[in-house]
Amino acid sequence: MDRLNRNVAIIGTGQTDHASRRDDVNLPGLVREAALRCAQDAGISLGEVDAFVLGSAPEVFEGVNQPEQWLVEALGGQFKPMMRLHTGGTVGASTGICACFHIASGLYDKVMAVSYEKLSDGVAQYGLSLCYDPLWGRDFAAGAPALAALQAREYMARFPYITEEHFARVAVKDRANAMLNKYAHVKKELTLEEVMSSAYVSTPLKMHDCCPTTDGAAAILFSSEEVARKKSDNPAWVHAVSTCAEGAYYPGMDIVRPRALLKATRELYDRAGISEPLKDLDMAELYCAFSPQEYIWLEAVGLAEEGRAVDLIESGKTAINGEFPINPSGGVLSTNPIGASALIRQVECALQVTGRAGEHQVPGVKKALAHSWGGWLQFYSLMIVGSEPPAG
Amino acid sequence: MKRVVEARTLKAKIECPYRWSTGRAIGSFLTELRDGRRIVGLRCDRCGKTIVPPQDYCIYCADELDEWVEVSDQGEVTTFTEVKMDFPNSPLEPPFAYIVVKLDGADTGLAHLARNPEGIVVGSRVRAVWKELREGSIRDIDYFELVK
Repeated sequence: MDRLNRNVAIIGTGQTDHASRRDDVNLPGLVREAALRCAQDAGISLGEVDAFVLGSAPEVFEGVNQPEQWLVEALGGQFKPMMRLHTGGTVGASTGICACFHIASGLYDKVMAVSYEKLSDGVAQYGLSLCYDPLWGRDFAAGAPALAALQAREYMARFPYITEEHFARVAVKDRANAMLNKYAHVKKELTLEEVMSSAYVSTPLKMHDCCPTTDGAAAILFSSEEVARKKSDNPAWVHAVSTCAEGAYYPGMDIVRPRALLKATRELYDRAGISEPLKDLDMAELYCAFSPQEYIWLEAVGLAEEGRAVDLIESGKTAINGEFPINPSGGVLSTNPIGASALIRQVECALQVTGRAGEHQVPGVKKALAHSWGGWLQFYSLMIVGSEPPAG
Repeated sequence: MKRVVEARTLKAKIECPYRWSTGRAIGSFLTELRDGRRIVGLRCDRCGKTIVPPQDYCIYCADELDEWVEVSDQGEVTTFTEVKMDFPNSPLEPPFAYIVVKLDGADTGLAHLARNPEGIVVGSRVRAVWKELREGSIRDIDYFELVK
């Protein structure tokens, strides 16, 4: 089966105000803010939602196990189907994809995907360190920056003409885009000089090559075509989804060209009938928590040849006014509530194809790609969102 | 309802003791580190791969594994990052490096530390520096150093 069983539409999206610390709300309050904005955007009440899919990263981030227990009432989930997922950094995307499956199955017509993280309640690097194997990995629990640094180092070793300055330009671009996005967390433009002179966190990554930690949540209301036609005059449509996992530290693992992502990409493009992604798609929201990842993911999802993302980036094509904008929202480099970050990629694609992205709208977007990674660079989730229902 | 006028932060700390069972493969691996200053892995006949640190099953084909192989305590750095900033649970005072080292005889990368990161590049030869007092932990290898 390579197609969803029936068409899935996006008829509402919502995001919280994102900040380093949202002290004005507790976790249910934060999640509810996104859910309410999403329902309002769709023109329905939370009570009309058929089922909820929740997603968030490890519980240790907030220090509360099974947080879904106390999110039921905040979402209007009483006596309704509700489940919570976790797939590392991709969890937000998995949440959206699982909600799609709920609709495609024919069992439900209005399903809300909600994902969140209140990272300031705990210490993110403690939580990330606890993702490593306690028997042989935790002493080297590098958190997220060092993992991405190992990946960037391999990329630079493979393509020696790539310098740290190449990476820095991605940070400059994303932070400039964030200035246009009313929901972006870090709104401070960066110069190349500022990125290059910021302190090393974990070589070759400097402070400004790295994402912030954010309190935030996001939600998407997925619906059947029938409901979309009734409730929305401007829905977005899910054209295809794919996910793939691989192990950690196995022989021949390639973290610069992850096989799981290559496979997910092939499946996605087959399902969506995409043969030339750079032509057939109009933009992408790639999960770049660290600036070198724009190079790495562009190549892995087939938007650039191996080692040649530099051409696309240096020629300005990935800029917000370029031919193929990457992360016009400012991306994860500007806003990173971990559990929600991958769902925000889908939210942004839906906003772009419906022409509702506001100041960071890219003109004429018909099809957009949402990408995310998680775990030890081992979980991948992809979605193509279109302005029209998928053909045939 | 209006926005909260005075919101508060409640501070707390959770301490949870754990006792992790090592399982057969890692248990043997850690025992060999402690008693023999030896690094051992498990080899899969079907895939021809030696996995270090070992798992009870082949990480490729999921077969049960029981062919023990001793590998070298020297190898080649496949990637590394020099950590310059302190962070919670840091294993050493920065600057130090996380390295992934492919030990001679192994097919997997082992994550470990280099205490003196200067001069390390992808492809550097490194060797294990062992602790005198060993307790059956991956840190019985204190760190790796460049082979001059």
